[in-house]
Amino acid sequence: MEKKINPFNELYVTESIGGDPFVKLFSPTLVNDSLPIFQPGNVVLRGLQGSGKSMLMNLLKPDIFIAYKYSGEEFPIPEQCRKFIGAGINLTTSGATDFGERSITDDSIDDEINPSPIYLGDFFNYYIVADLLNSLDVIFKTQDKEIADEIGVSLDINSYNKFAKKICNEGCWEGYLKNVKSYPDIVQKILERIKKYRSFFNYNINSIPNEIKVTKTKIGEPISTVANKLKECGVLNPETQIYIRIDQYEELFYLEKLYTNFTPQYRQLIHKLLGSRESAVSYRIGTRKYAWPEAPQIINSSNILEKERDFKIIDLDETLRQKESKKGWVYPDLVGDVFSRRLKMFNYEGSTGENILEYVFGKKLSPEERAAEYITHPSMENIIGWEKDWPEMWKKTFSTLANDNLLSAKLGEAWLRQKGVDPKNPNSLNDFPWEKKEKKWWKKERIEQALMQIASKNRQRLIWRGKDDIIYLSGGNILIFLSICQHIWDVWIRDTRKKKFNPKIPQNINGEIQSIGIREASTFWYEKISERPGGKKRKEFIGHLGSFFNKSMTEDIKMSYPGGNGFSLNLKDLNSDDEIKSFLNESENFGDLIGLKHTSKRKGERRWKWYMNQIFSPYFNIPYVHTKEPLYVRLPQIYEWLGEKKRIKKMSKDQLELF
Amino acid sequence: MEDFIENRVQAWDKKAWNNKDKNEHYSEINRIILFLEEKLFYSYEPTKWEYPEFRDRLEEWLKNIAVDKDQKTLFTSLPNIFFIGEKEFIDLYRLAYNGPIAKWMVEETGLLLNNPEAYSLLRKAIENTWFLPVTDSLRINMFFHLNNIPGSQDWRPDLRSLVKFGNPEKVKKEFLKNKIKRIVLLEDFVGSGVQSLDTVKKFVKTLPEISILFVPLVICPTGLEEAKEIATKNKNLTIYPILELKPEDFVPELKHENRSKDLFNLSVLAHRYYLKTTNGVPMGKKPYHPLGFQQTGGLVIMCTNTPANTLPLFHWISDSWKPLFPRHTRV
Repeated sequence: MEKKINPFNELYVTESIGGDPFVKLFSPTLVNDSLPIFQPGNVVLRGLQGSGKSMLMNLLKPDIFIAYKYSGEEFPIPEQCRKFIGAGINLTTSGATDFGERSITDDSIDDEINPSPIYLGDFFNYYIVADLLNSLDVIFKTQDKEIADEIGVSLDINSYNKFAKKICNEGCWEGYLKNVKSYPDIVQKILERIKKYRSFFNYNINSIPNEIKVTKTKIGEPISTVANKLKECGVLNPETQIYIRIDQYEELFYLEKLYTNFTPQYRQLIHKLLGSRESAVSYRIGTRKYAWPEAPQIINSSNILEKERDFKIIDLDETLRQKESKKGWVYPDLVGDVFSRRLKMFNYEGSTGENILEYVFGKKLSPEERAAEYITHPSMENIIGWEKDWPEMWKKTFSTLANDNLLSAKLGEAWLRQKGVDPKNPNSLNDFPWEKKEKKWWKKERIEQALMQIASKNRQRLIWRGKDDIIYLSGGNILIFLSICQHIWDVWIRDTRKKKFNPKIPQNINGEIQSIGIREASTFWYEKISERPGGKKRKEFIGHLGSFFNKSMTEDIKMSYPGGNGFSLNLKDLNSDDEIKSFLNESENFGDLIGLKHTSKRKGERRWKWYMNQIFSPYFNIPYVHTKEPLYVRLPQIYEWLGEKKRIKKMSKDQLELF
Repeated sequence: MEDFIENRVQAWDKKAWNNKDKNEHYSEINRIILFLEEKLFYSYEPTKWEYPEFRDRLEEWLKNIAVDKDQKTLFTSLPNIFFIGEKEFIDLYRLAYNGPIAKWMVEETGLLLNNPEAYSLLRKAIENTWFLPVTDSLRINMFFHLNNIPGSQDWRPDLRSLVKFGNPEKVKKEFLKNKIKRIVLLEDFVGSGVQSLDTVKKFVKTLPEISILFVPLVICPTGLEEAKEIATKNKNLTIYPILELKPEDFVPELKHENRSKDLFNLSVLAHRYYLKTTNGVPMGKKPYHPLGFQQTGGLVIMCTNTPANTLPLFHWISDSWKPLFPRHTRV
């Protein structure tokens, strides 16, 4: 039987993707929110893994532009922003990170200076220039006047020869190109230099060749010189912008971490490019949030880059994160589009309109429907924890209600435990006060906790299914969304393995299959925490936190803390402990926690609150919905979640108050 | 869930959740089995033609048994299988050559490693060494190719056939004529050693003046013990296994209750369903015992075949039993 292929198998479709599949898979939904990337000026594109940074940056590559042109699809960048040529470097795949693997010696550099960043700057210059010339080559080879005119690139070989003649004598090369005569020779000589670096880092040569040592270049200088000369010689139209991509900047952060002392400041080197206020080229830096410093310092200087003046920040996490209101939230449209493009690419037939996610996964079940699913044998005993001293008349009230509305009965129990009954009016319970209009917020905030307790009492796991669950659990991260789809599809393929492949887009995939797939995806992401730096500690923390939330929300039968799937700290407390502060900050930056400003119920108090990434909710069997008030905790509780009991003992007794 | 296996896994998981049994994670085991299927189980050669889909065989295998609890035991036993796939064999072949064989050759030739000519002298010594498989299950051709062994050895018969059909005097004469100074015997798997060690023993006696190295790639404790005894009695024989399995890797006899709970449960199951597995063949006749040949209790499965020492419920074909890894038998 023909093997069924999971269209979501490949999670990471980034820069390795070719032009044609890119056109099919790329969703232009985010372009409008990222327009500064396609306008002059430096941009830092910040986002978690899977937020779509590399896909957006790919739009700067000429082969992608050409692929759009030949596919007949509209290039997703506004027409007035299309006059640009892109070049760039991926710090992982280019070999730039090899600079941490072998030390470089250079007698001409003072002992107290680590030569590595200087050479990285040189490597960077040559790599970018080579890529820029390659971009020109890609356009030139099309010999397509329409394309060349739109970008502003000459197809006249004479302009290239003129450029070659002029560029090789420029001082920025420190004489490296002095004997080179033709354009192809320049390209050859530049590539040779990159090759030499590779040979050195592959331990095929003993040292950096002298020819390189005596011709080291200043970071950025050859790039802007080449940019200016290309325009001067007519290779580029004076209006054509040059955008330089620097992807995976966070690799430099890891590289710096390799050193315990005498850390080479690789990131500061990149900051120098942005601080040069050079108008010939604009830089686009793709980075994860944690790697970009609060105050980006420029190498060998006390200067700090100025936001808005030296660079703009586009924070994709912010753009994609769940908003208070669904209006204007771009993420659901993005994932719908990504989803339908994937299916189309894998030859699924049928409607791929706006409601594709609802078509395939159905709607999220209503709270009442979920309550009914959790209870296999509806009876009051399966819902309410009855107290012996409660009067019979209450029992009767709840019995009747339970037959009619299980969820309301559970909420009623919490109401009764929390508020009691007015002794002057013992029959007031019969009016179901928790269902009254003025109590709608009380009820709304407790629905998820009530469902969780019903499921727990009936020994059931929480149900996860439907479009909204999938969107909210992925928490604004496209990679997590794809991973959820991948796992659901895997279970679906396994479950239907004996059936012939039907190319029609499946409608309403079975809810159980969705729940299993989502749980598998949740386990996958929980396990994945430890893969990244410092992950072991963060995984342990999330483990303790999740189990604590599950236990406390289940055992809180009064439902006094419906926001018990998050916690909040006083900023005074937080600022008094650098270790906790940096740990929580790091967890946020890695996307394991989501941190938000918290308006305290205590007047004048400033607080910050955190929730676990929603994708961990199925693993710990807790709701992902965040209500307004999380748990108010103090530092010892954080230490307990960190598994550091010794430290709690040392802390003063007054710190041990929890809520 | 429509699929039989998925349906079972979810039902078991639900039950474990209901009973708050934190030690049972059937979805997790399912994930491990899917992983093993993708990386290893798919490569099982005896089913490549007739029953290629592992998942189909798994379903049929579980359906051999009607009792839910016992199906669960079968299912959970799978991550305990020691499956030797194609890549693992490649590694074992290379490891054998670069490890024990090289070491033995150095010792045999008295080569000093600081001798600048050591490498070429060793290559030369290999030309006076023959490499022979003990049985035809070891792929000697592959061993030669993978290790790029100089091609001076024209004949590569398996020892078992040689001992059975060859004339000992003629064999001896041939070796002396070719100036063979050393022989390396290789075997992919030695269980109790009944088949391979008998052959080795006879052969070693035929050529007392030639140094012989016996390299089992994987060996069970009983086989190892037996092999060591043969080596003690025959000074021209050295034994050097690559991978020695430990007693705790085997399914225990029922009296050994102190072993892992999973393996003990499997042992109980193997005994309880023995007659169903064999369709009524009593113990003693093939497949001999619930714990396999010589009551080994093996859980080894090779991509090339399943040893007879492995539990019959994994490999035995009968009218009342559909195995997961059907064994290709000689007779």
